[in-house]
Amino acid sequence: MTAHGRFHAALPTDLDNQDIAELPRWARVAFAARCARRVQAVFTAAWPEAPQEHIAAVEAAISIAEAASVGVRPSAKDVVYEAQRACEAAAVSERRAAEAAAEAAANAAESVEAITESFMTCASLGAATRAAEAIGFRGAVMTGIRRDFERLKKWAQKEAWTDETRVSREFFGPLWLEGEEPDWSKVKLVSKTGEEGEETKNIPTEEEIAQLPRWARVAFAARCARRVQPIFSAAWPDADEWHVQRIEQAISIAEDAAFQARSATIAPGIDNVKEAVVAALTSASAAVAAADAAYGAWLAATTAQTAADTVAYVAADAARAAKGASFEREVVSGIRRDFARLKEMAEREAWTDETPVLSEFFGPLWLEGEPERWPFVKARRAKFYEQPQLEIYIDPGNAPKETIQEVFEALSDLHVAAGGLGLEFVNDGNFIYAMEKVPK
Amino acid sequence: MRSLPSEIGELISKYIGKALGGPTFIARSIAVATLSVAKSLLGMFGEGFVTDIECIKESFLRKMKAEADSAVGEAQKKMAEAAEAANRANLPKRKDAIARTEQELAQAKVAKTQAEGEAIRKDAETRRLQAIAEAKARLLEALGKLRQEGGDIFFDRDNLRKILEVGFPPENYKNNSESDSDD
Repeated sequence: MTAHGRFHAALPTDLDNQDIAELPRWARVAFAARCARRVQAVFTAAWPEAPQEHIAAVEAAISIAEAASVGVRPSAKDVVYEAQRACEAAAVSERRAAEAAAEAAANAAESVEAITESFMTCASLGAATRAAEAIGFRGAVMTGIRRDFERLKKWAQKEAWTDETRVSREFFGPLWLEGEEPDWSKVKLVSKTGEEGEETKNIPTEEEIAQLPRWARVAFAARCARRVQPIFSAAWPDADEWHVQRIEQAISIAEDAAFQARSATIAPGIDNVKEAVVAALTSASAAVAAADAAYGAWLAATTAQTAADTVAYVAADAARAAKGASFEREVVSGIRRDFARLKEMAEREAWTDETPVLSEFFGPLWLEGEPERWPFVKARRAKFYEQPQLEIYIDPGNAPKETIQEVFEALSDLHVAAGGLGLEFVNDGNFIYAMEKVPK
Repeated sequence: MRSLPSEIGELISKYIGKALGGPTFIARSIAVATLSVAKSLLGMFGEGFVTDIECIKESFLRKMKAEADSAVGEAQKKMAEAAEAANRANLPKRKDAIARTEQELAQAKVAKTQAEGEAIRKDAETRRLQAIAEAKARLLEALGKLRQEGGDIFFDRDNLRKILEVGFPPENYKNNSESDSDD
């Protein structure tokens, strides 16, 4: 069983990924299937005109997860693909609840084969929650889900289930207790053009990205990849260090190329970033998308001309990774904010294709702090990057700009002399202090 | 700010010095460099070269809006331009620093013997200490100029200590900071 940071904003508040990780493996898969089964009716209720092939795909995805939990192991890959198609079709038809229901089914099927089925189980639960919320039946659905979880937990402890223990089809009993089943005929047909839908559509298009100067495009690609980088490790906690490093290196190279306004050279070992993407294919799709975003950013930095479509793909990959982890809204709005900032500055300061862009240009990744339970990459970089920043208070007196600049530069030079890359100075922004008296 | 209205007194603006990021291979030295800067500044408190912001009592500080007065706005603008110019000036230095670190790493890798590798590392460390000493001297010179013009710079001792606490394990932090601070 895996144990990693708590995450997943869309999970019910009293149940999170660590609770789920405590279940044995096949209990998790059974739970994922059960979550999807609970909201399966939402698919057709919210999308009455759904094509039969998509309805069948959702059923097949749930069935395969149920079959796997009792010991039958057919390949789930094709089924996952079909369920994802159903999910996309619902999205195109602007049926948000149906999309979430199909997503729950696809995630359940994916949990069968994914090395990180714990993550996919969480993702299935998250999608089921969203489906229930979208139709206004959260209470009934969550009560059932909670009951399923408690039952699994109780029996797993009582009978000392292991990761090999299968879960019989009859284990859970009826899906709904008497009078508990929601009246699906009263489902509110919620269009996907609600809040979340608007966010999703906000990913900058290829045409918009093409308006940015070259290094701004690279910086944007790097930023998108950086934003979803933690999803890689969260969705694939068993990824080996080599792959994690390739992802980090790919993003750093793109950031650095944008900063130096120079195409990145292909450093030894980095030319195979693609290997990390391929390796991630054995894990959750969110990890693949996060790795793909890093690969795309690296590609944007190493090719002679950074094509807007490459960068648009990176943004789309980042959104896909976020969606897989149920953080789409937060990530997409962050991506949009970064893009708007770049565009505004590029226009205002008449940036050219030669203008460098610092990764620090964008400011913090999250304006109001990380989303709750945001995937968290422990150790590696965190300790150093969490260092408090240097606070400097300046009284300029009558000194000219040049003298103040000298002080800033001297501080930065001290950092460089000590082996760093210098300091960037930003005004705190919040406070201007007027001192009435200085005690001597 | 002599040009400010008398009821305002002197203007102090707070800036944040953020360590610039870079490729992974340099991440550790960036972190260590930030510690070195904090350590140097703590040492400079003891020598009386820099002032702790705590020396200015909270009661003498008040928040005000930048746009409240044109003189304040001017001073703000001047500092913002100075910071921006310093940030720009640092760009080529950053490139050089990356190249230098790459070169040092490459040299260390090709060292044929342990002794040779050790010698390369010692040489790099000697150069680093010398560069720090020179940079400190330049900082003091710049501070001197600022003071001659009626300005001043302040640091927050607690902030510097916090940087050291995060960077070093507690026992090392004690060894590294006590000798440099003035308390």
